[in-house]
Amino acid sequence: MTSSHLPTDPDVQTRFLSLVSHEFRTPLTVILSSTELLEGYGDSMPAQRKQSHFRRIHSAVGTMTALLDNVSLLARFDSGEFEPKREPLQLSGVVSSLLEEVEPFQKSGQDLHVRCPPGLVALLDLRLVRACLVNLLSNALRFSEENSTIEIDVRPKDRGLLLSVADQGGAFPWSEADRLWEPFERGSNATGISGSGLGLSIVRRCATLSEGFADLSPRPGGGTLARVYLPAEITA
Amino acid sequence: MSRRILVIEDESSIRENIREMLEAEGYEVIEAVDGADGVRKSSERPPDLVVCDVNMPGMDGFQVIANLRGNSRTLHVPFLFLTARADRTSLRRGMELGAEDYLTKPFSRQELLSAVGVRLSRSESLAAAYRNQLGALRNTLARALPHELLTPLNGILGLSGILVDEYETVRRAEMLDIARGINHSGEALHRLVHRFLAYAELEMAILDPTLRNRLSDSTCQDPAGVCQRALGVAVFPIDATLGIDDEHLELLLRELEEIAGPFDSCSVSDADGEWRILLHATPETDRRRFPLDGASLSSSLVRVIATIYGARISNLDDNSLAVSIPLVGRT
Repeated sequence: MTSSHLPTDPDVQTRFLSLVSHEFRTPLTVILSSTELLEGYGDSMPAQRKQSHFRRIHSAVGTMTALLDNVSLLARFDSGEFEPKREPLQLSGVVSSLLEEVEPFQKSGQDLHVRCPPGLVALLDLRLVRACLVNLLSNALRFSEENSTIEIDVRPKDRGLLLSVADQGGAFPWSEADRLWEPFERGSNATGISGSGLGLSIVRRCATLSEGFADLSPRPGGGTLARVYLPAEITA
Repeated sequence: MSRRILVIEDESSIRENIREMLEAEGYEVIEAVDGADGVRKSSERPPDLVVCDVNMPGMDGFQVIANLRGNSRTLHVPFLFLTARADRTSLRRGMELGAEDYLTKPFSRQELLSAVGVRLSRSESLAAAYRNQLGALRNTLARALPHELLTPLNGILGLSGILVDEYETVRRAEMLDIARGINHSGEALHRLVHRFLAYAELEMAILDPTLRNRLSDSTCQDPAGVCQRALGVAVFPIDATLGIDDEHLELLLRELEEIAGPFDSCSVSDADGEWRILLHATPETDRRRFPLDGASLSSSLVRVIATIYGARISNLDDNSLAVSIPLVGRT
């Protein structure tokens, strides 16, 4: 586990900047080209094609927003300014608002099943819960096929909160699992899937910051189960 | 026939948008989802142009172009990089590997279409020029080579045949004559082969900009000396630098003589901003105008040398030719 996430070494900093720039240029290309296609041929374009361009634009904006969120969260972690707050979070409300946030990554026919006891409230920092769930959910959506189901389970456990995201995605490269928790590392299964390689490292950082844990395991019958445990006072 | 463009890009949204943009312009588009897929598809059936992302997992864009440039079927396919890296080093690397152009992401539809259009039309006009030039070369060789080679070869065969058949009865003086004849034909053949090689080289130089520039930059410092050597007549010395290589000026004059018969006098002077070499044949000899547009090796050599150095050859009257060569300067 690296102690710092945003690089301080100048070489690594350059690499970081070029990666961030690269990760922005890809969604920008999608936005520009889809916009121009809609502009130029929108009138004669079938409604379905138009819809798919709007979805592409939407998803590109989502990718950029998620990357910005991750980078600024890492910056706050590293500056030492990040003090986890203890605020009462109404979990079912939090989860449903996060589902909207990851909608841009959702492929057609992908179903999100949420299990969360109504009225569950935990004293936790919203930024941490959000970062964990958004990153795990966007991974699950991006790495699994159309028409698959992703299960989200939120429950109290051992004086804390257990967040689980289970997908039916393709083979997770288990031999690379240790490496993939490090920032900027991407799995060999990430061919053709955009991403910065920051998600899992942020999840683990959030977990350790609250003295919890994060792990990944294969699901029987295929797919991956990602879990984050955050110690917290549960009030309901 | 619509042009086939291979788009190699691992990000599906970008790949599909590029496809839509190109198809709307009437191009046929083949998609490849990664570098290996792209190399496979381009070697199966070489496209007219490749648009390829640099940063791809597995085989990246640099490896793709190195692979294509290593295969004779895809060696000349124009290659356009898409890059999300703005750094010069990686772009230079792509250009060194033979990419024609690159587009930095995000790029506009107009940038994509004009880059594709320019690369395609350039490669088409280059291919057409090669076809024409190759056609001309093949024509000259096919028409002139057998005939011109046969003359000295027949000489060698005929004379040596006499030696073979009648060696017992051939007298010493006759032997010397025959040997001289063979030697003469051999020299003619030797010259001929050299002229053909020179012609093939010059023809190719017309197509190769580097070679052509190097030639058109060369000069002849002593034109009178070169004329004297080539034509075997006395030429009044003149301080002049002509924009033509010594050897090619000599070749040009010899070939003109080959077409027009021997010249009796030659002079070099400057006129109207160019150097003019005037060649005169004896007025008594009854000649028609010198045929300069023939299909012989000599006419072809005169044509290519004139093309490379911007020289003009004109009939002044029935007995005089003028060779005009651009002025470089008085020394």
